[in-house]
Amino acid sequence: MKIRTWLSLSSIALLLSLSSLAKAEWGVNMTEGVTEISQSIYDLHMLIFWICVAIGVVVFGVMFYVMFKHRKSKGAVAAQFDESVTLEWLWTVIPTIILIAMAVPATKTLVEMYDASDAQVDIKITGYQWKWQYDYLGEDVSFFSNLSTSRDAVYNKEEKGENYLLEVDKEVVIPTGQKVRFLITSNDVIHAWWVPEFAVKKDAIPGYVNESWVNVPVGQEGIYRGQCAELCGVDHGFMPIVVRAVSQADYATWLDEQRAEKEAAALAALGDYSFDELMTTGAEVYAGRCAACHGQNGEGMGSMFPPMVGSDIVLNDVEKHIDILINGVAGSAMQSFAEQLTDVEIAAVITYERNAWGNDTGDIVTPRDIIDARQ
Amino acid sequence: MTRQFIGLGLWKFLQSVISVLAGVQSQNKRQQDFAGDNLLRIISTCLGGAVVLILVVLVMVNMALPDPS
Repeated sequence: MKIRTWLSLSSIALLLSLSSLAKAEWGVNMTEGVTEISQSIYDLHMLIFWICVAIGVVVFGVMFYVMFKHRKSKGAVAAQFDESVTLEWLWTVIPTIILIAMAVPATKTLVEMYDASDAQVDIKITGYQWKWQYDYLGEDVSFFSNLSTSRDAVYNKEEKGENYLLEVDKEVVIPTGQKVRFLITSNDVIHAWWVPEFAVKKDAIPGYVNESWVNVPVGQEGIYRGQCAELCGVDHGFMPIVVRAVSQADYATWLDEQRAEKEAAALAALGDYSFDELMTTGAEVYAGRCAACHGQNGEGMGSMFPPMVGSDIVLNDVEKHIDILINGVAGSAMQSFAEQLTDVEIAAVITYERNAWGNDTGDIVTPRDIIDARQ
Repeated sequence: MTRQFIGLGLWKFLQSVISVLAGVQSQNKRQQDFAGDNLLRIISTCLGGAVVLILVVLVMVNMALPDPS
């Protein structure tokens, strides 16, 4: 009997030690984050967690003690009563006091989380299937942020990187030490912008603007990653968020660079491009922006995403092809790429689609054609 | 009925209100509250409960909200 008891106790001790190791390995608890708010939320979470643990220990402790102390083998006889007002008051009042004690700090934190006033930087975030658009209000800076993990990595044709499905082609940049307000909405279905380290998770709802904010402390410059947290379609897991928090001086420099890039892109559209140059750029744009829906080799996907190979529009109707890229197709999943791609990129991807996978039309669409079509 | 209501006394009235809100009441007290033709007593207890509940919520929300100044 003694050996069995020791074996049982040893097994329990082993399981407990394994679980604490596992906890350290897996990091099962929520992150403390980097902002004051995220720390408040973490503290609140731990406070409520320990209150629950204490309640659990007391309730189950009393229950097991009573079960053991008054067991049938000792001749215990059940008491027969149907009312104890004192006890009823106790189990009503004590939980009420505990709930109020938890609700007061929780409400204060919630109120703080919702106070997006007096922000120094305003960024409008728009969710798309399956990418994010960032507009720096009043700064003339706007761009799309797409997943940069290659499809080959997704389909196990190449090794997956450290930030697999958590990397983008263009990061959203924010300054540290300043209150940044996010105005979050959507262009199609409901998404959710979620960066755990900021304790920000807000739904992006079409036709509605949600607010949130973050103030990353000075000294916490770095990369913070997140994901869409609302099931939004087939590529829901392929629209990550990457935020780069930089010093205020670096932020000002970055803003200047963005404006300069925009001007350079406008100038580049006036240049001349060879067929090979357009095909090379087009292949890159296609792989990054089009392949997810239309297939890596233009084969399409079901009835929703038509193939590029042998398509009547691709082979015969260049005006319609340009129009679809610029304006999208109403009532379908095909978005407008007018704001997402530069004139050079649109011209290149159309040229590529009209000459790849055996389409071989020999058509060249130039950036000037796109400028004309936009007017 | 009116005599019964008037004779209720503030303390007993409050006891009934708090019992209704908390859902804790002895069988005797419950029978007392619902005994006879004291409909006015039941209605005033419920109204009193609603007023107390609103006041409690108001106080708690004001405690939680930040000072506007």
